[in-house]
Amino acid sequence: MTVTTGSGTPWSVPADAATAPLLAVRELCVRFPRRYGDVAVLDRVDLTIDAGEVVAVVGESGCGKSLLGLAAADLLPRSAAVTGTVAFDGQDVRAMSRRERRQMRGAGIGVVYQDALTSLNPGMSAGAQLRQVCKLGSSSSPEELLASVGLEDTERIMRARPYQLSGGQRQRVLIAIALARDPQLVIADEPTTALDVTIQKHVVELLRSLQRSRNFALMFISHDLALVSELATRTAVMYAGQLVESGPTRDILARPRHPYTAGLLESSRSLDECWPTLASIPGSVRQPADFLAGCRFRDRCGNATERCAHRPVLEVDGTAGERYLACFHPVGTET
Amino acid sequence: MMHVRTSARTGYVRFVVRRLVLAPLILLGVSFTVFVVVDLSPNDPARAVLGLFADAEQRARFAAEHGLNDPLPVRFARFVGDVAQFRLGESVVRPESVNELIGLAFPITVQLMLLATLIAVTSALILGITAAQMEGRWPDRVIGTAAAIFQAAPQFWVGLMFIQLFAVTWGWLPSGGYAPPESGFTYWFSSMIGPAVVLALPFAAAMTRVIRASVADELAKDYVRTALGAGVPGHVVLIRNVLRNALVTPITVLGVYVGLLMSGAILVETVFNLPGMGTLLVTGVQQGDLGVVRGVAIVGAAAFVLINLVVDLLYLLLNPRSAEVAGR
Repeated sequence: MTVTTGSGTPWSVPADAATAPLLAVRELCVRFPRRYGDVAVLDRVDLTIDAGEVVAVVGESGCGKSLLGLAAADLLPRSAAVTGTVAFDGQDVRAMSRRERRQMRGAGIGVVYQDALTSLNPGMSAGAQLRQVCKLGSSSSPEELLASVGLEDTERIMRARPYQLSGGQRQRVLIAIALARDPQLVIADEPTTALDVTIQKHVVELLRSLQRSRNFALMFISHDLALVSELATRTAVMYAGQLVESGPTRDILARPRHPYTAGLLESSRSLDECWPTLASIPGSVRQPADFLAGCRFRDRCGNATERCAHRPVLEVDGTAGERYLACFHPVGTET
Repeated sequence: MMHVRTSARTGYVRFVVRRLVLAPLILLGVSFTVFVVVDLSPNDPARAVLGLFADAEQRARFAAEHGLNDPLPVRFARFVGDVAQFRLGESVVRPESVNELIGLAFPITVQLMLLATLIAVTSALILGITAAQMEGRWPDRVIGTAAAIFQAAPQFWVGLMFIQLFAVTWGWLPSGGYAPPESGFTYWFSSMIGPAVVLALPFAAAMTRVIRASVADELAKDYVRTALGAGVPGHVVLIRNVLRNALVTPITVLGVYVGLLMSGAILVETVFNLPGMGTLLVTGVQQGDLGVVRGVAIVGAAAFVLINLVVDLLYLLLNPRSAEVAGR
């Protein structure tokens, strides 16, 4: 393996296409100076996704998952102040030229948004919106795309405006738009939360089968651990804008190390297995303005000590080298 | 599921039919109001025609000959009958009939209003969209402040200042009067541009603010992010995806402002001495020429109803969902 330097990448990783991850988020901080002042709403987040890999980002609502997804696609609102780097295919997204960025958006990264109703233009037919994106370069026609996301009666759907479609149909149209330019990475931002439970399942299955057939990398953002376990090979757990734990999904679900992951898992299991009492984590995620210094979970954590007032760094955990943890007092170790 | 399309279309047709039925009724109401108000005014047509020195007997004879002593409903019915046949009666002061007078004045006002609308809409589009894209930054604030000032400034004052500046101080434009298009484009244009700009200013200011608010609102919506995130270039998103939705509100507002534009035209024509409908109305009132006053009012009302019908149809074209609702 040759290490080439000076290729424009701001950190010292090999720029070799075979080894560089498709998406590399390093030390990413996002602030909204007008609304939250100096509080980092995303605080030094590190995440990599390799080509063809399915990575889940989980956490409660308000923990910055969606923000991470938008930052990765370089779609943050103008009011956001960003530090750190997001590199796509070895290239710093924020240093890209306008043309490179347009190419990266859509052809590099496709995004499936949470709310399909507002994410589609109410004044344009679904077909017009899909055609507009396909025109920028696509391997398939709009009709083929609609068929590939499991929509029958494509002719009607092409003509229909978003309000004339059902929630599930809208979400599929949105997926078709995200896939239109054959992206290498798809960021799915809670694509099922706005849907009925039965349709949720269909959409997740659709995403999984599309991922297999088209072989794109998938960043699946969700609060639903059960869903994630079916889909993702790797999982990153976020809390209040910080990445607290990451590693192989099966491993994390079997042996959570961070108290937050453990709590999340327990509450979701108590639901699935109909425990007599619902396990829950006390309290709720604080508003960004009230984020604690140090470990942001410490006010809800049973293991917290004075040490937690300092921020634990995300470090390799264990010997296998594939798990990362940011905690001084992990679950499953005697202190 | 073809009914989606057909229901929008039948909605459209039903809406148009209903408006077409409603329009004459509105005009009838307007006619009645105009008739009664003019009738109640202290002007005496007999005196206007026969002069100040006519005696009571002469005036009584005049009134009897012209049916002025008939009860109000009878006279109103006669008036409506005439209007329905496009006969607006005689001017009591001037030799021309009211039809002829309006025939001369109407084109001038139409030119003035079209030019003013063109100026107002173009400048409002450019300024409004610029301000929306620069939301919160200095160009937005400059445009917003200027718009507020021009919307609030009284039009007759702006007109007088305009004449003072462009005609008196700099001598670039005539201070008033009308040159017909036959006299050459330059003469026509320099006689129209001043009144048109003054008429357009408050209209442009108001439209700029409406367009700015509506475009900024639309730009913040999620679907803009969807298009940009798929790699569609920013200017394409603005023109193809955003403007269509963002212009729905300004277009409805446009219909309302056309009414203001009409009343503005009365002032501006007077200030710039343009022989249009406004001047005709004002001299008609001054001379007690009731036929002229009624004629101008009726034609103005008809034009207003027609313009609003067109605006509503445009609105439906841009917003097909409302066609379904409107047809119910």
